[in-house]
Amino acid sequence: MNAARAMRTRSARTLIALAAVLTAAPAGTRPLPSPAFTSPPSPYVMPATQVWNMSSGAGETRRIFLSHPTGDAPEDGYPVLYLLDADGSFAAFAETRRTLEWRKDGQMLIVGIGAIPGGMQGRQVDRLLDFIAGPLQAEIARRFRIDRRRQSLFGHSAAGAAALRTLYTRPDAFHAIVAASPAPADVSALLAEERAFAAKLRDGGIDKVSRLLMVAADREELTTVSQDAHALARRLAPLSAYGLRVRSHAYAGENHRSVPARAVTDTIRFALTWP
Amino acid sequence: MNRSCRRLVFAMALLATPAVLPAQPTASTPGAGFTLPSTHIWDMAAPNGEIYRIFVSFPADGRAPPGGYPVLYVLDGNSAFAGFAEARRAQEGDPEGRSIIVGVGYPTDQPYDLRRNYDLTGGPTELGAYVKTNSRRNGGWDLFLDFLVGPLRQEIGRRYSIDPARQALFGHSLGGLFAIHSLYRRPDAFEAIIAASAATSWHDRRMQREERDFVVRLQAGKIPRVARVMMVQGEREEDLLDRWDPEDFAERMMPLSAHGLRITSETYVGEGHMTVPNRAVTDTLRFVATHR
Repeated sequence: MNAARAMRTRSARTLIALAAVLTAAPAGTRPLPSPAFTSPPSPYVMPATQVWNMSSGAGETRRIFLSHPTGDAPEDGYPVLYLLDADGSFAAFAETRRTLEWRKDGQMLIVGIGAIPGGMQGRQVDRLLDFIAGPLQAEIARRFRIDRRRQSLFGHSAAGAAALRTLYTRPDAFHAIVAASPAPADVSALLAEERAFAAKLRDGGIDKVSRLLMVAADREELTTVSQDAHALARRLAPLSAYGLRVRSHAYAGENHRSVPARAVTDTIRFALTWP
Repeated sequence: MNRSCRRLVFAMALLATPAVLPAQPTASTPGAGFTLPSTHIWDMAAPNGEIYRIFVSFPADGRAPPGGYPVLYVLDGNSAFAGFAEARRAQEGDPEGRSIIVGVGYPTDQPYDLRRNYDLTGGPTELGAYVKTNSRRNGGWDLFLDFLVGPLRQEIGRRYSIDPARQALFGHSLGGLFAIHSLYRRPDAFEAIIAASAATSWHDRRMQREERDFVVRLQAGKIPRVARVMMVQGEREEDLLDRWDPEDFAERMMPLSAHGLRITSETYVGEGHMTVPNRAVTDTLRFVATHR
């Protein structure tokens, strides 16, 4: 088979596959038309949101999700809540913000960052934080007036561990950090960073430190996740003497996967609490 | 008018008034916004000509259980559907995620539409603080209930594999009022009813009469099958009646467990009126899924 023929065969196959996809009923549905329709079914695109791809500056592409108020920004600019690994949590945050806006609350930006291929540990977290503090923040500021003093971070599971690493290694980068069901790949590395952070804070080496909200389910499938979160909140509590404010919740009835949805209203309240 | 009084009136009015907001990008602009995976939306007409926007979230693998999926109908779908849809999808491997979510809303990109004042009420309000809203169209709740359990249910049943015996209803504020009215009017139409921040005070006297009639019928054994009921409300409801009334209602209904009525109530710490639906998402999915 010569190259041109192979190409034709391949594109014919692609065409057939494409046609099959387009004519097949969506999963879980039966394709019965209804006279009551005034518009055909389409996927739900959420109002007051924007999605775009941007370069991380280190050769990677990041997918960004934004939920924004309409109308004029407050004089000091909008507070910003960044969501790590946001593909499965952005919608609830965006919807809650928009509902609050109906009564003139919700004057904030929700910025989701899509899943990072290869996970989030050590240097990957550092690169991600560089991206947020650099190109991403600049892009958000180009679109909306933001209050740089009021930027918060939310992460769940592996991203929850990344949120903790952020507190330990860049304590003044955010106003508030929410670590939900933190599940670090390397527990001892995170513990070492915690010890270094605690020592530095006690020694007066940290001028400004983010506040921290820890949440976990009481039915985490990995019981160590809830146990470690609880123990960490207790260990960090005495550091209130050095300016670290920590709050924690154990969510009754929830499991690991339901924690982000359960944490939405607590997170928004925590992020918006000012000063 | 003092400040707290103004705030009270505003808090209630906000759910009945469309906010005057500048135009925003439309949801239909391709690539402009965030697309929720595993969803369908479409507009459809009720028999009386009213157009509704229907939002559906369904398990992606399409492997329905032999009896079909349970269905949760969410009122004010424009403002409440996404949170339920996303939480369902996150738990797709669990019973909480093996269901169909149906948001019922209006053809608008705003979170609320004035038409809710017609669909969710039984007439003008008798409550002094809100009588000024009575110039709006009102009193359509029985027609809307007919649409929900009639043509809409039929359409969802045609398009998805559903379990007709496991259909639940979630409503917030006036939607909570509507949900309680639905309990009285059609106690067996839904397997579970979730009333969030139920504004039963909107029809104070009328709801009291409907309740008494319902209780008499239930105690007399004239209601063979009755929905399970979950009441949730915010600790910081701006209109305190939206907290007190559902709490008192649940308390009054508890003795009816002797006649088969199952009711639970939770007052959410820290939540105000507007955040109760979002706070209630995981509890609601669990309540709907954990049956049998």
